[in-house]
Amino acid sequence: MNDIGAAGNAVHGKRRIWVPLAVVGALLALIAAEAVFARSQPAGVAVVPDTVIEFGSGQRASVQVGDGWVLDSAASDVNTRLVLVRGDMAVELSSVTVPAQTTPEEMWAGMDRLLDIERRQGVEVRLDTPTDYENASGATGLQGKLQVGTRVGQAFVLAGDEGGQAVEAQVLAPAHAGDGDRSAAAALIDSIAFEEAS
Amino acid sequence: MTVYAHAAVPRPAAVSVGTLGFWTLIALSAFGLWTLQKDFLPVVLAFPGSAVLDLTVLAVGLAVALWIARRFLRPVRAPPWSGTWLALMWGAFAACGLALVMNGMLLGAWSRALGLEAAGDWAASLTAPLIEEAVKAAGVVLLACVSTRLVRSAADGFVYGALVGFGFQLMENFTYGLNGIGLTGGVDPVGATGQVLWVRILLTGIGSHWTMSAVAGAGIGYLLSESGRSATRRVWVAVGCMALAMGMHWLFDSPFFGGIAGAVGKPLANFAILIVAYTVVRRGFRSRWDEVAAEEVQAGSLAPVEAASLSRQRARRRYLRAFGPVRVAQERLQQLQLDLLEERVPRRLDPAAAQPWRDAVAAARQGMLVDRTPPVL
Repeated sequence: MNDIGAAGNAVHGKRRIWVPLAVVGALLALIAAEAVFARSQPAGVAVVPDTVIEFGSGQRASVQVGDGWVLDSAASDVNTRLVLVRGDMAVELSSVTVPAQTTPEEMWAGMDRLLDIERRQGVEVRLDTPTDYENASGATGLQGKLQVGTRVGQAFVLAGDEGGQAVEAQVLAPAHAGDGDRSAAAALIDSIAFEEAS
Repeated sequence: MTVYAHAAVPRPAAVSVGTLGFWTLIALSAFGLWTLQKDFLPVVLAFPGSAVLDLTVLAVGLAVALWIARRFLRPVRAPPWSGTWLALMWGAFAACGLALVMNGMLLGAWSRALGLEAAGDWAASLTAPLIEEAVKAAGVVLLACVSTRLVRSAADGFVYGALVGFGFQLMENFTYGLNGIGLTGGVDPVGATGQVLWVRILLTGIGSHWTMSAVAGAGIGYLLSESGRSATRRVWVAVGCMALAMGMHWLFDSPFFGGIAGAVGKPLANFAILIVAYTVVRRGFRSRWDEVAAEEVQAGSLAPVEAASLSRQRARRRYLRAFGPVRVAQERLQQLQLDLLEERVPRRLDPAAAQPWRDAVAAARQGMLVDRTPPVL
């Protein structure tokens, strides 16, 4: 069998019509298969109360998750970011690697710069002047009020003991969110700790 | 005044804009560009310093990629510029934009299916080889649909695969450079972008996307052009090359061989595979080239010394240097001779069908004022 045309290429004649269609069809089929696979997975994983999740690269951080939280697995990556949801409340914890000697104030300014991305997308974002913060686990940093669109809450930056590692947290919920969710989020932030230097 | 009468060049356009393949390339590239700008334009606007650094590095990278692909990756002659730009466009916009959408879906699904820890280690290596190699390879197939002349040998598939890979790699470097800002908390945006680019270009760039898609492309070129082989064999070679490209990508992204040794060693392993593939492809192309050159010498279209000088760029330049004032006309003749031999490379082509190219060579030879015996090299 020789299906190669006179010009030296197998894509000739009517094949020049159906091969591109087949390529597009194959790509669409791949997208559809992915969508089916993605939909077959649970939207989130309910976290067993008091589970400690470690995250981040380098010096890892940990967070103890209380009752009623769901881990948004699709939006989470153990090396960089955890997204935990409880009702309308969403807590995003990001592990960041900053230059050594970076002060919490510089981290706060960095977070504000990153929020510029959302501002450029037309979202109303307000990050207030921060105040000092120390959580129950002894991690220190800054906290301040944050508003992203219609969601309000708080932002935190917590510096690691070794310098160079930090956790940034954004706690956001609609204005009408219940006190239960807000105190659960506060407990979550309180539990953030950095693993001991080896 | 000296006037040279040049024969009309019987060179068909390398790209046919009236084909479905061409418009599919354009449409999917436009979609990919839209996807990319939706995600990254706000980042570019928020961090202009990083964007300028990213664009500068992208421009330098593009120049290097063009030099490598056009100077080294195709035996005898560089691919046409039209095919070069289409391949780069597909890699940078269509493949990268589609991969952005498709990777996002699959990475999230792996996180849920495998759990957070396992997904952290394996999600990338279970996603990127499948999705990214598929979308890049689709570009090489579409290039073959754009014109019957673009992909006519495994060597063509190899060079277009590499160009698609270069396009993808350059755009991915650009996006990773911007993503790096978030990973450092926005503290030192330009420094973060620079650090990402440094790693991705100097450390891993030698064995990244371009090597993988060049291997896959060689298989596609073989499938679409190797008329001396059975369809079954051609399909298996193409599937094997695709599987090898995916395997290269899998190893590259896998958690195996971590640390600095892995970061250096894995790209070098990919580069070594590329060299092996290139050697095989080049040998096949040159052997066919020598075959048709000998036939054309026998047919009287080429002098033996001309045929000997045609297959290498340096030999062509050395040959032309001896012509002094008629060098321009001789260069024109040389181009026509190259066109003739390129036209003869596909095995299925009836040698008689290349007669217009032979006529053009003969006419150009007569049009020259000095009918001199070509110099002996």
